[in-house]
Amino acid sequence: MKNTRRLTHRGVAVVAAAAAALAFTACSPAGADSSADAAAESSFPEKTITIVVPYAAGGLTDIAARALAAGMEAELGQTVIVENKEGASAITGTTEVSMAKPDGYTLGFAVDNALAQSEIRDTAYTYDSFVPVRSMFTQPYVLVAGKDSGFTSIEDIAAAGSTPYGVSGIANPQHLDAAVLLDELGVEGSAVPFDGSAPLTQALIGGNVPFAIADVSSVKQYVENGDLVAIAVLSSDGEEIEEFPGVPNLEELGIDTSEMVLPVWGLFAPAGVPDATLETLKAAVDAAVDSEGFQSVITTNGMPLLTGEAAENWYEDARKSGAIVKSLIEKFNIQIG
Amino acid sequence: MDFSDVLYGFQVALQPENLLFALIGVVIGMVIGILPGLGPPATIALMLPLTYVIPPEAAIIMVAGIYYGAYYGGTITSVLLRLPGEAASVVTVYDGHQMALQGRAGPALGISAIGSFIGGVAATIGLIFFAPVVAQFAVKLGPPEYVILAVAGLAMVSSLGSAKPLKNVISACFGLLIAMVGIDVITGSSRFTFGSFDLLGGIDFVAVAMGLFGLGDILYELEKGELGARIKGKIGRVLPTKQDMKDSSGAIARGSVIGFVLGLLPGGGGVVSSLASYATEKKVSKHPETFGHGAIAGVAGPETANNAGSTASFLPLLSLGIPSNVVLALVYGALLIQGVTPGPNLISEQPAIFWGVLASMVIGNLMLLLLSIPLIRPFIALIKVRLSILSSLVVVVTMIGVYSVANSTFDMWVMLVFGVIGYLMRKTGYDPGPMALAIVLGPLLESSFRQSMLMSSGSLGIFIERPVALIGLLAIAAVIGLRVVLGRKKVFQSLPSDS
Repeated sequence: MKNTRRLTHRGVAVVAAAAAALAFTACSPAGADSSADAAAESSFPEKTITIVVPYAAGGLTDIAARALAAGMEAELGQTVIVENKEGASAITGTTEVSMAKPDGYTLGFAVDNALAQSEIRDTAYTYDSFVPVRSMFTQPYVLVAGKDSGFTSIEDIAAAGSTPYGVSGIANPQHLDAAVLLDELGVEGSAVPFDGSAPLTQALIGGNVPFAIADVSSVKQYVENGDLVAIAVLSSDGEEIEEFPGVPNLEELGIDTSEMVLPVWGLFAPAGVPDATLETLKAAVDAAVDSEGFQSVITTNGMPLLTGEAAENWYEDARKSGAIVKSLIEKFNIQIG
Repeated sequence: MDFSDVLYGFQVALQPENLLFALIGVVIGMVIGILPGLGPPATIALMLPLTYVIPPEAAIIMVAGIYYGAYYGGTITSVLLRLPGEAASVVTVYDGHQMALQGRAGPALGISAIGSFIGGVAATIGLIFFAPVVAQFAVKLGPPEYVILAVAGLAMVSSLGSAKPLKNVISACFGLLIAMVGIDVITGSSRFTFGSFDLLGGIDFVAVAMGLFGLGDILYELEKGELGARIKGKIGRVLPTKQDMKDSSGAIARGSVIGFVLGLLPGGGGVVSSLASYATEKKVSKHPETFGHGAIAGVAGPETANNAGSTASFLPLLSLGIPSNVVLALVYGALLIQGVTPGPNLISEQPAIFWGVLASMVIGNLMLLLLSIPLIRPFIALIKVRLSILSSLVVVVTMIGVYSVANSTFDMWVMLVFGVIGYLMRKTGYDPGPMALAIVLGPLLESSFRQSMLMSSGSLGIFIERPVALIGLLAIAAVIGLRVVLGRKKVFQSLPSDS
């Protein structure tokens, strides 16, 4: 009796093993869907598109991306969501985009400095890891000082032998531009870093740092109500900007701005996205950019769209900016990584 | 400041739509506060799209509700499961969980709800009356003041619980070491990352806390072999007794003030408020030896302080347009999307938002209080579950929660490692609380100190030249000095007298 039972158990085990082996061989390998790829291309998009923003939610890049996503949703008839993946100077999120499948369902929306990180740090991506989808906007910078800081003009700053100044991040464009400016004026500056524009703005208002180069949207209302003084502006066309009428451009003041970098935002995808998919995306993005929601976000926050040649060549220009960033960091011996 | 403004605010807050969103916010907040891992920032980010389609007042009301609701949810797990939902709840673990083990979970939760309510209302009243004045003052605070704050916080860590102060300090020092992992805020160079990309972002507090408190605790209990329920027998009273209320009244009053003042400071507001309140209560108590063993003042004070703090932290945003932490940055973004730019002119250009939000905080806190009372009994039932079942549930839920913070399996490994560390710490009599708190306070201390040095070109004098920093320094010196003197007196008194 016992013998029979043991046999039955063993029998069951053998059958089970055979069944498992059969099941494994019956499973088709995951890669056998290249034919499915071609079909997916022509019916793109079939599922949710994700725009990765390598910054925390609520910031400028984030709200612009969300407005864009809303416009794209209307055009494509598919859900378009924004995913925030902040960290490590935007490297975390940008890396994720570079490693995503190049099928057009994962996109990246960031300022070009996120890509420039590949020049100055050991990142998993380079400029060649991505393909540009469309340029977005730029932002002018403004040199502001606290109302009690004692600095009201560029001459005041030039007269200071050495001075601390605030930056919203190490080796970001504002920091580098300030370093270039002070170098030209012959002033010895020491950068006091803050974790973003909000803490920097607070420090400026509170008089904890005397001046800084900041982006327009963070400081506009404080210049308007007198807490901060706008000393000069920096923009891509060398002119004054409408948010601060009467405030001279650094170029007008005779400063050489050729080495100064301005941020450029853009939408990009991992390299290898099929051309047909790219075309579909571009059309949708163009329509979304023209949408009321997007236009109102960028107008309210002083972020003019790139146009003409600048828009066409934005990715190449971003590459050049990256090289400038790298050379400035070496020139000023800014420690990173 | 007109009383009619306040009335107007209540008018706005009591509108059915705003009441509804306050309720939604508070409920969501409480739920995510209970669930480990998912915190206010992630939740609010998820709900941002919703805020576009509702009016700005409703949006902030809901987000504020999520924010202080989450603090209360974190308390529930601290008391019942010894799991701090976030850094500000770590302090509650000490006496709160002890009370639960003594069958007094109900009063612990009840007094937390009552204290939080009073703290929130007190802070709101403070905001209403003092907003403009305080805002102008708060904005001047900078890195040197934060250094003093962080130093004070780390000093107070030594008085937590019932372990020897020296052991707490050692635990905190290890926490400081761990906090150094990651990218250096000042120079951007990577420290102790061993080339690992995951470590670039530093070691996440939630993963550490869940490991130290959750997993470590469970491993320790399982080894002891006690697989039954944490407490046996009756639950006991659900509401605090009259005596409890009397014992807590001082703590609540002091906690409100401490929380309000410290909540105005960016960054360390919630953590330092709860620490400061705990340290204060232990100091002024007639029975300091009960702290760490279920003293209700050790729960009432910190809970009041951290809710007062989270309410007060709205001030820089509402009156100056400067968000002082991640959650408020999200609120800022939500307003920007609506076309409202928070700033000094918000109070005059958008009075409905300013006064409405303030009034709604009072209402929201009241909702929390009313909601939580009937829920206390079912929550307490949790600790009657056998440890052998509860532990598996807790491990699974916390691991998922830790993963959900950043979609990172790396964080789960961190939690496992710290689970082992927490177990070893408990075996050797060290308290994990100071280590966890040091991970939060350490970065604040370091970056503020180095910013201060950059501001002063290397001169330590900056701490003496600035009035607020100087006052803080003197206060710390006075407290430490007093302790040393009193300690000496006690030693002399306890020496046998010659006769």
